[in-house]
Amino acid sequence: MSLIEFDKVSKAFFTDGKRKQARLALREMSLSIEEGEFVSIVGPSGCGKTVSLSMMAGFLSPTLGEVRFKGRPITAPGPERGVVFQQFSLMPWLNVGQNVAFAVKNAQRKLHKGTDRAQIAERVRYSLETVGLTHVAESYPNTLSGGMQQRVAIARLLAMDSDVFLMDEPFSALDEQTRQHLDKSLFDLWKASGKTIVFVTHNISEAVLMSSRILLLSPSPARVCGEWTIPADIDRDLESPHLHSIVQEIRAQLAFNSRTIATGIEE
Amino acid sequence: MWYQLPLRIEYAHAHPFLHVHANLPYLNAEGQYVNERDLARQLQRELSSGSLGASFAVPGSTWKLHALRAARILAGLAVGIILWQIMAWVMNSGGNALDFPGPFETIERLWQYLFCNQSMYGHSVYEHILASIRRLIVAFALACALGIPLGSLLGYFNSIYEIGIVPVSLLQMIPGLAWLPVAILLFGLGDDSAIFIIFAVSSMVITIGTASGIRMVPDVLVNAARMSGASGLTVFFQVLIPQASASIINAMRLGMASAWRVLIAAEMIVGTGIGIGYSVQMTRDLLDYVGAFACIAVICLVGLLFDRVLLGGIEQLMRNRIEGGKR
Repeated sequence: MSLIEFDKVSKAFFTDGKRKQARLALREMSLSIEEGEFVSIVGPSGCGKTVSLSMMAGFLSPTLGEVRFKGRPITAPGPERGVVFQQFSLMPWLNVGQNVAFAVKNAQRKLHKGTDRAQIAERVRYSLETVGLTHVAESYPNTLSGGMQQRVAIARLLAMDSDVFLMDEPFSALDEQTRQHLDKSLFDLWKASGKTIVFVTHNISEAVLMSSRILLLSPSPARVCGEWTIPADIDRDLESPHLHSIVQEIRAQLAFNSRTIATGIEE
Repeated sequence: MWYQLPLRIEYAHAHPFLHVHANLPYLNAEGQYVNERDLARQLQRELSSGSLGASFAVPGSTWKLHALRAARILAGLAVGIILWQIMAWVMNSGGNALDFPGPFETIERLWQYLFCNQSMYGHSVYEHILASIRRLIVAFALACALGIPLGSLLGYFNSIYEIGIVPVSLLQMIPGLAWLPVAILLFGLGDDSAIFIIFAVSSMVITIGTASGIRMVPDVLVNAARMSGASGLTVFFQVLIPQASASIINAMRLGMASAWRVLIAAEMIVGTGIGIGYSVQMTRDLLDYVGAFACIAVICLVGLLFDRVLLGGIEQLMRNRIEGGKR
């Protein structure tokens, strides 16, 4: 059984307040994500990458079809499916440690695991140590750089012990150097922890450097129109011929898709 | 320092939901006043000493800043008093039967009321003030008790907002004194009517402010809490309320300001027998216009004290807390 499964999922939104028009964002999308995978979802901007991630998180429900987590339909957000948002999402009135602890407490309560203080403190300590931020545990979010805030957001999921990390362009608001550094750390974290990661990005080299599998979405309405698997033992270096050719292939496919759409409109 | 407060109020009203930094650009790390000239002088010193690093400290002075702010506020007051005096001269040059009180007569009378224990229509000025404040506090407490929970409900549930916002906005449109017939029908003449009128006006202001504060909370914070498994109650009490707390305090301030204004008007007409509004009414009936002006000055002073010092301080505290316990 797959960890996450899209079974012919379609999602339509009303385009205006009068609700006379609707726009199709996803069209009978089917995909499955196995445990321990690092799946990147790439595609042209506005194609529905974030929408599909939001459905995995449980913020949105499909109009038709079914999204399943461990075989059960997803109806609401939950700690087993942690999210790192594109925007900074720490509570500004809580310090870093309290932010992580707040999430852990909610998760424990939801899963009826009991909220033992010492245990929570231990999880907070462990997760901040993993992302290398023990020294800012007492700091408030507004004193941290954007990169650090996103690392705390990742620590939050580690502390909650989410089964899957849903990441919605988490590093796109950061500068290039910080982004590359965080990509590397996330990749190492995935290798070490064996968590499942679903990573939405528009940066193809970023996707190729980290993923075990890449899904390319078509222009809106989205469906999966391309899939690349990257062997686990490959050297993660963009200069290497194998990765280089994958990047080229995805770029070509993307360009082809947008051209098809463009000509379709002309006709 | 009390004279720093107006600067903050100006910021808070212009951008109630932005993070406001109380530190102004001309304060250095120690909170001392520095200007461009101090900067240039210090840079010259650092350059000539030859030990200049990437950053350097600029010494300043605390008293200069306080003196500057105090001077600006006094200048504002002075302009007001001069215009008032000119107006009094113009009005009194025509040989009217009634003197238009100037600032100095008014201040003299105020002094007598405040410090020479002169009676204002049977009570000392402090008794009048206390009577008014008591009404204000009772009515304001009731208004908060209704407005904050109601506003929170409106802000939290979209459907309740759609149902409730129209009646609340309609009620808010009713000016304080238009509640008089309702008040008289419900409570007759006297204290309870005054309290009802104040309550009716300020509770609606607080409701609307609270609701909009809750609705302004960024979705991403709510979603971040929900994905961690937070229940609806947790989201409400531990995300929405803390994030909106500065807006709620701001709503309370607006509610307090309108309560104070309508309090005076209510006391003038519902026959309370004591209170500052009652005093204004009496001075007018007895053609004691200097006394009336002195009462108006008292109203200004007490209102300012409440708004700036009490609620303004609390609001700043909340903002600092939301910003993450800085300073």
